Order: sequence, then structure tokens, then C-alpha cells
Amino acid sequence: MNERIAYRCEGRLSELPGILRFVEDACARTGAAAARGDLKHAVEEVCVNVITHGYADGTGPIELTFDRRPGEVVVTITDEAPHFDPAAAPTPDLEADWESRPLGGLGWHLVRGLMDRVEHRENPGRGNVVTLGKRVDESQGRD
Amino acid sequence: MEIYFSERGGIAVAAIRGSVDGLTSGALLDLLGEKVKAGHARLIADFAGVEYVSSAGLRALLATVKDARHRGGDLRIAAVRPEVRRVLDLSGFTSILKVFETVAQAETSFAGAPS
Repeated sequence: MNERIAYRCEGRLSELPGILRFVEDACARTGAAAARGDLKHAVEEVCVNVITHGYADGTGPIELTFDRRPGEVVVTITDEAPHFDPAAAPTPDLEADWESRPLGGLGWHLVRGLMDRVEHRENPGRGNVVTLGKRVDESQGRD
Repeated sequence: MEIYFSERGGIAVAAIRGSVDGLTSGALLDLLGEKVKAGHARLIADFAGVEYVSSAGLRALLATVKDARHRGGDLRIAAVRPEVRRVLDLSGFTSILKVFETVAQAETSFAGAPS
């Protein structure tokens, strides 16, 4: 049941609906509807980070590949932005009260919470590859 | 994302539909901020139609909560879907936001509180 579907667009916020539709359609086509919501959310967080931080001074391409494997969906997101290791993102203090809670800084925390696997590697020179893995319960059948 | 405002007993109710994400959160922040600045420091966000909230949406909500509370009011959330509730829990937002089952319950929670 291995299937691979790819998508490429400019790294602009206006491309987000197209990116999310790609994830939605790929989940539907490959019987991974149960993972759709979490995958869309995690992909949105990663792409918004690339667009607003990675490409802060301009724009560049974003490439997504959607790999449907037995029991799992793996989405890779490749950019040509400066290197950024999500492990360097500070862990948010979820116990802080409302006045001291900072605005923002939750994106990578949510991605880790929603996904079963999050990996990052740097391409030589410039660019990042983020890999998101989400398990799919095949016993429920392909829908 | 779509947002519909109504008013109930001095409380601004914002019924939000769709996704509150990196593309739409700026509009939500602006619209809620305008209400607060216009003197509606007591607000309810009706989340029945919200499909998901990303970190950008959480940022807009927290900014509005801070603004409203500093003016003696609050932004309270009602009718949250389970998948959105999970994101609020993961973010530690359920400990700082007041979340209610229904808009009516959120409305009642404001009763008697100073505006």
C-alpha cells in the first residue's frame, strides 16, 4: 500500500489553503482520514514557521511529500530557508499564569504533541527537511 | 474563517466558523481587538463552528484575553469541539482561559461580575 504524493508551492501565507487541501486530499485518497486533522494542523504549523521566519526576508519554495506506508503516514516538508533546528525552540512554560504567558512560542510544542515522530535535518548550505510521522490504525479499515 | 458578532446583555458574542490559523488569525485578532477597544471588554467566542486552531490562533486568543482582562473584562470560550479542546489542553490554555459547554453558560458566568 505504499503510495507517494508530492506537492510544491511558493512559501507564502496565501498558499496555505492549497497546502492544507493537498494534505486533506492525500489522506482521503490513501485511507488515512483518521490522521487528517492532526496532520493538517502539524503541516500548517511547520509551513507557517517556514514562511514567516525562514522566508522572513523574501520567499522560496516549499515541497511536501506525503508517504502512505502500512500503519503510518510520513510527510516531509522541504524548504530552502536558513537552517533552523526545531530542537532549539524553547519549551513553553504551560504552568505560567495568563499575565506572564508569552504570545506565541507554541508551534513546535503542538507539532510534537500532535505527531508520533518529528525529525529535522539540514540540507547542505541552505534548507531544512522536517519529517512528520503519524500512526494510522489500519484495523479500522481504509475509509 | 468567518466571524459573526451579536450582543447579549452588554456581552459581545463572536460566532467563529472555519479555521483559525496562520492565514486568518490576524483578522480574528483585529476584529476582537476592535470590540475590546470600543468598550466591549466582555466577550464570548462561540467556537461551535471552529474546525481547528493553530498556534497563530492561540496567540490571537491570548492577546485578546490579556487586553480584555486588563480592561476589567474577559474573553470566554464556549462550545469547543473535542479536537480543538485537545489543542487547548496541549497548549496549557485550559488553565488560563475560561471554557464553557455552551454560550448560555458563558453568558451566565459574566452575570454579577463587574464589567
